[in-house]
Amino acid sequence: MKIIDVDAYVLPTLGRISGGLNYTAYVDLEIDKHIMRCGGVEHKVRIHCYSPERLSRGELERIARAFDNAFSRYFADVEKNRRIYRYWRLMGIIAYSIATFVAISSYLFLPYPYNIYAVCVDVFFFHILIFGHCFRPLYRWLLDGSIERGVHRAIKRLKGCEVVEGEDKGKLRLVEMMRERFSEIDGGEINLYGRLRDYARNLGFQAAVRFYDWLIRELREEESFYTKYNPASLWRRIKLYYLGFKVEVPRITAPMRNMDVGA
Amino acid sequence: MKWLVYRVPRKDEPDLFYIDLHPFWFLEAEGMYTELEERKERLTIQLLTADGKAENIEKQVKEGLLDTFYRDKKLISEVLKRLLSYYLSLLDPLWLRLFLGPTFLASGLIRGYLSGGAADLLIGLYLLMGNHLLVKRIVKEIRDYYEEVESGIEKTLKGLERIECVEHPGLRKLKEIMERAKDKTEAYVEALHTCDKMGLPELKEFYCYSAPITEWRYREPHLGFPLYDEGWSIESFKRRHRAATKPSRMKDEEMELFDFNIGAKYLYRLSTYRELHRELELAAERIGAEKITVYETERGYEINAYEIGDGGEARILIKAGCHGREPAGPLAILQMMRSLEKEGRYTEEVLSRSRIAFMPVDDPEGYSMRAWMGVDMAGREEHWPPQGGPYSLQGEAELLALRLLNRGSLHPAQLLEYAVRFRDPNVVWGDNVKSPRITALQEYLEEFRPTFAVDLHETIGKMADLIYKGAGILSIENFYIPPEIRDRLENMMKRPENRLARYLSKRRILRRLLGLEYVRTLMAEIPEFEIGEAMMRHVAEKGFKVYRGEYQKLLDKPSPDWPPQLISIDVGRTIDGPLLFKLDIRVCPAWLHHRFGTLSYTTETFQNPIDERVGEALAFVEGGILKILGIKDGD
Repeated sequence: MKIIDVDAYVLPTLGRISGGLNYTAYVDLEIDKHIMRCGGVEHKVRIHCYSPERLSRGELERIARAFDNAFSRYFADVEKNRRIYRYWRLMGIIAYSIATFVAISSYLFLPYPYNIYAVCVDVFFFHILIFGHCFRPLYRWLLDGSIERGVHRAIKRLKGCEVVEGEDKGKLRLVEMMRERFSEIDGGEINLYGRLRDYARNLGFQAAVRFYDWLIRELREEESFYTKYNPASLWRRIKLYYLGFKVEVPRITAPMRNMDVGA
Repeated sequence: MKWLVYRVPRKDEPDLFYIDLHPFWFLEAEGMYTELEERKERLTIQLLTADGKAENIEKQVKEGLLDTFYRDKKLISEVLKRLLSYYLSLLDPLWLRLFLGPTFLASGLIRGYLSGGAADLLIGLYLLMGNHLLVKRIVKEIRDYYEEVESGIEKTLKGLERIECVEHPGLRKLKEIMERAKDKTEAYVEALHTCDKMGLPELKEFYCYSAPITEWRYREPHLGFPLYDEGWSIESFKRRHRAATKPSRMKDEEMELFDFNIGAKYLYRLSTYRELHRELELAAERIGAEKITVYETERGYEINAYEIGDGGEARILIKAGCHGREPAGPLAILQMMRSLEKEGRYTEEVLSRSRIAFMPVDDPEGYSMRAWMGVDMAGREEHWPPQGGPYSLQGEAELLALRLLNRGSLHPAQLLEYAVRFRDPNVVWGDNVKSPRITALQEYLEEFRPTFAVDLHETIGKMADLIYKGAGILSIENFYIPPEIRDRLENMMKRPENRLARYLSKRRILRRLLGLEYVRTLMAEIPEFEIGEAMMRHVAEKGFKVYRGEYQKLLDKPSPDWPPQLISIDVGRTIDGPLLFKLDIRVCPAWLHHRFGTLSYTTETFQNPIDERVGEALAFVEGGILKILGIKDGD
């Protein structure tokens, strides 16, 4: 069985709703890419965790379970999507063919005399509706199909994960430096993450840059589950029915204790 | 495959086996089941404990899991199954099958083959039968999926491999708190905030539900009133005053009235009322505010008002903390008071022309507990768990289903449960108030007589976040609207959605000609409408979010079966709908408006970073103060 080594970093964050300051363990792995890359071979993931303070076994196990949960959630989402859309897509194709046929059928059965040039002009202006719109759902269909196959491969071959303490001195120093930086600054939450991201970029700490980028994007987003999946506007509803739900790839994170220097 | 659960220490009671449940955890459970099936593995339970020791708990855990988890899982599966079936069945409307199908079919038969009748025939046949078959197939797939998952989970739980105990320092710390503390409520409040610091935020909810002072009796029949043996007399509280000190302010030309440099870390540290109170007192002393203790709770917490300014042009009331679960309001008031330590461009003018009363927290215990307060008909108070009910999968599933089906409005059963016995302290204002706390607040306000008031609220929590996460500030306004306009509001178009309609709606002649009558254009004729507009403009100008876009459309199109709770009048602005207005439920700002003609506003902020929520409230209030004093128009 192949062992795949992955890093996890415990990085400073702020609590949500009414929470206080806490740190978050971030596993630097993108689930969809991992599935595509490693889903074909039987493997186990070993997570090397780098934290400014030593973690107990319970805390390390929480990171491992966060890993399991994120994968499970993704698997379930993809599976449900596959089940619903198997027939949904068929319906889409039939409805689409009907619409196309209705649009051009009147030209196919025109009585004599008719002007073929006028027909050409009309078909030209209709072509966006007739041909253009099929590319996007077709692309989504092919993409979803490859993800579904990838997930089925990975479910059988991914044999869980284990978390160990990281031993790379350089990476340990990086998480310590992030903690020191965090204890020096204050400001708005997004602003803080932005400053931490810039600091990480200067250090060449790419995993932290990815983490804070993702956090900032999440916080800036003016969307909720409801507005995404049951939108009020007609246009969004049509798009949803037409293209189907896009399965979001969860990030692997686990809350950790506060390790702030000044706290 | 392993699954993490907790052994949670309690005060004077045996430890509790706790599974972290959130509305979407079932996705993970289903995914796990798929994995287990595929790999032919078995499940191991990892029990996080304070010391990592297992003492004959294996059997208990197995039985408990099957008893509770499987039953709830079945229920949530059922709700989901029904919900998805309902939604997917919408793809097969009757009119399509029974009207359009036969119409096409008949048209095909009449028109014959050559004139395109064949196409009509095919379409007719598909609409009559094909579409229906495919939709039924999809619904069956979904039902099968959930049934498979249910049976799979039952199988998995029955064949649990083993239970493994792992120690966690956070749980050790919680155990120490429980052993050390004398009072249950204080212990749970401390534990609640320790959970965050120790990286166990999922246990916070547990202590939050268990922290209330009096035992919660939600499952009692709700049609009826409690009959107490002991008499209940309300003692009126004698207000205490502390004179103002002389302030010294530093000039800050960049600031207008309030300081928008908000430290999120600083705010997060003020998680209990004691920590917040300390900061408020410091700020009040520095800005030279007069302190009035309006009421003192049974546990000795003070409800204070801080008054500042010598002017008589406007009497401004800024109030928050009516609901303990909404921390941004009290923190925004703290930030406002701290801002007055410095002298901005308009500070001197505002303080010389008006008198401002800050009332940061109405429910101090609730603030520490992150709980809601309920007031019953006799004036007794209880602290409720957040979102009005004990946490159960059943409750979550029902609520989720109801919200999705009703587009966010309240279900009649819930409304009844909520309204009959215990009420939100914000909706029992008026002449018949029984609660000594609200009476004291009302008495104080009778003396203060505000001309402009803002009550800061929030809509946050797991279920609320599903719908409103990321939305900007929403304002609910109380100003005089002639009855004939109010009666027409419900049936009118909410607001022009596209540019053309917006342009047309501005032209009075076109409006009449085209029969366009929008709420916004009608309301714009009332002078007070401008003030809210200026406030919202000011929020946007300061770079904060207002309630707009898809959220606004949700508000504009409430469930057709229900009278709306709020009627939208503009982007991010609403007035009380018939559900609040006609039932005579008085929220504090509505009472202020009816009693003194106060121009009053309730604001709602939603799930965003704390500093943004505070900033939104700050900008809204600043815009209002500057507008009513005619200093700045919000441009």
